[in-house]
Amino acid sequence: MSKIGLIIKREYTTRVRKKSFIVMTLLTPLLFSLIILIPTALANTENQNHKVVVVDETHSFCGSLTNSATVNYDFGYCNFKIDEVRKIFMDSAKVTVMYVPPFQNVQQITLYSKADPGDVVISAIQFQMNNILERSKMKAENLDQTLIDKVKTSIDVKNVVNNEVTNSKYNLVLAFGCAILIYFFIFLYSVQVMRGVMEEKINRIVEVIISSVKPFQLMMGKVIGVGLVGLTQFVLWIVLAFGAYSVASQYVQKQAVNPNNFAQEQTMKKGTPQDETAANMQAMQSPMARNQEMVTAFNSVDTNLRNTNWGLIIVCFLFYFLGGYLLYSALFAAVGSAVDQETDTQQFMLPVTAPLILSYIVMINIVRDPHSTLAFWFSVIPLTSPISMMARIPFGVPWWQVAISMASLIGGIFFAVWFAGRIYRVGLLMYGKKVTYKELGKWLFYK
Amino acid sequence: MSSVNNKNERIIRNMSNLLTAKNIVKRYDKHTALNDVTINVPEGTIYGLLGPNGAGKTSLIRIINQITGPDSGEVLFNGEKLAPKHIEQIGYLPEERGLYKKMKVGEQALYLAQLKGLKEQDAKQKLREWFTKFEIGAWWDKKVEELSKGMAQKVQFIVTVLHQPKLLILDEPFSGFDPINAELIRTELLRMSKQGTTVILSTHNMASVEEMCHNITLINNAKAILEGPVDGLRHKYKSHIWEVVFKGEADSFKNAVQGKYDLISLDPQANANVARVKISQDSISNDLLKTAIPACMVTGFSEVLPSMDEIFISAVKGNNLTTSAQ
Repeated sequence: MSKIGLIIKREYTTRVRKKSFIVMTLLTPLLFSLIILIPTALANTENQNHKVVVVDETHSFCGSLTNSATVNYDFGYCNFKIDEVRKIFMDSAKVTVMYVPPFQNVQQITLYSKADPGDVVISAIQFQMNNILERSKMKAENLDQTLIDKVKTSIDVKNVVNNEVTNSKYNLVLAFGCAILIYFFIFLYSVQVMRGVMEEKINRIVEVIISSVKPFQLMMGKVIGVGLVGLTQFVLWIVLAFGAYSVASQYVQKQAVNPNNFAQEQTMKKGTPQDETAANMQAMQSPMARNQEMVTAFNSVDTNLRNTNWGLIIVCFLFYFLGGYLLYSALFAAVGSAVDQETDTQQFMLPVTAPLILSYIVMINIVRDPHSTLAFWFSVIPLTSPISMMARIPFGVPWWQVAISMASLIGGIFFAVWFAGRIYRVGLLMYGKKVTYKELGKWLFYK
Repeated sequence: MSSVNNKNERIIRNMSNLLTAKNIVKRYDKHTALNDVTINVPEGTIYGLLGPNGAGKTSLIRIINQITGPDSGEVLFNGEKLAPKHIEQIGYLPEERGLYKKMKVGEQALYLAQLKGLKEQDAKQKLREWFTKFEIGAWWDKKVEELSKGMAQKVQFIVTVLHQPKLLILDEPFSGFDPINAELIRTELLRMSKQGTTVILSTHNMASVEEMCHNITLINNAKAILEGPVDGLRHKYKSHIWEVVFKGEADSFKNAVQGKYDLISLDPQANANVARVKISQDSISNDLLKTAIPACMVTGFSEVLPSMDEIFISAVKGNNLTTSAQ
């Protein structure tokens, strides 16, 4: 085996065999889903018992307001005087007193509470009140309810780009996902390269090794070895995600075949947020219909997933992931070689991480307007292109822009590797002095 | 004294140089690390590279190891211009040496041996032999962080010599070893030297230089200020002092030599007196002996050669004086 091969093998096997790698690979997807699920779950449970005591001087809301996931109405004090009711609940933190004055021209209600009930509760109340009032006004105007339901419209936009139906919202999510993934990968693994370099330098093994191999071989061996670890982890995650997806899709297909199952579940799960709006929009929907709606929603995501040009996305993702990683890990390796303690890394980390963080921030703009001038420039400049271009790919990018971006990234990699190599070979053997930027500059030209 | 005889034989026998560094200059920024340094290392000898800290020894060693390149000058290995292919014929033990802490001992030794160009199977077999010899066989599957410093040093030494290099470069090889392990290393080095390995030893331990080295170069302030065979240098810098061990009256010896010679010291000991006498450069030692014999019973007579320590100190001090005078 060639020497660089030996180095790659060592870097790869020592990392992949670590318990932390296996644990991370299995736990990260779980962690991600927990991050998404926990707030939703908490939101559901926490607001369940928010009690709203209604004092209604119009006498038209008591009884017509319905409990939902967020709000639990208490009509026991409907005809009391507001001042009395306020006094009773003055010290109860979890109770809000809702006062509906006799309506005239200005329609306003007041909520009294010790602790702010929060926007979710307020919106829920507002939404219900609006609905009830609208309906009663329509009735007053002698409008037929069935007619109203009939004219209610929801326009569906079919977005055809280059003769292909696309879903912008879905593209946005995809773009966001890809860009964030690249950002994390680059950061995670470049920092690992830096740590590895520092470990060798601080352990003082580096001089033994560079008497056998060239510093450049050692650096590239480490960069490639760690990169392969990243790729391995990525492939494992894809497999896990694909597994989860097929389990989910099988589950949903089963529900579609056997609607009773789903209906039962829905009645048990009464009180989810969608439930609330649905309940107020049109009295009650049949569980069958909602079951059908879920399946349709899943199928629409499914269609989007199927319609996506995964070939292009995966090729681009791998290219920008590897390209960005090579570019940044070389720079991080140079940072690691220039310092001999962890705390000194800060000063050199800043200029290296700044473009990465900047492109992350700009990405939020790019996904909104993927064809702006800003988006173009950020996606062709090597330091920012991995994240920026990946945020544009799902929306479709002219091939020549992709070509420019890829070419400049490749050029950038060569330059960064050369630049890092120059600093690396001198930095490795520098101990005991704090290095300045001026000195780094001189290292570039040492023989 | 057999080792000294051995040493002399080999100096005569070996005329070809395994390594020649010619007019090496190395500058860092404003600091000159090596200023026109030339060394010739004869094949099969042990060569001492001496000098105070910061004199430029490590810079020279790194150039020989091709870790860095000289600004000017050239290095010849076995008559050829030094090239990457020579790396596998050189074994290097740096002064600051470490190992990967989290890696297992055997695995790591195998990795380092393979980097030096050994085949995995060969390396494994040789490592097993050395591990047994150095009594660390039981540590093969332990992590390096569990080793004592001395044991880690043994592993480092093994890895340095495993690929049977033609040239061994050791920077302060004895530091950090207890006397038993230092002796183990010394024995191994002498054995390998006898089998034809050329050794460059960079050290501050002058006792080991006197005992082991055939030739030395002393580097100070980036320049080679002294070089040659150890025995030759000690003779060259001798100050013609003879040690006379005798029985009898100290005063009668004193009276006998006074006026003719310079009596430096007279030290009465339990069984005999030990005197040190300086004779002039052109007088011969037999005359001193003739003078002493009538006055006492001479039981020992030998020339006092300067130790490498003394040569080192006086050369560096003298050099520092001249450089600062300029």
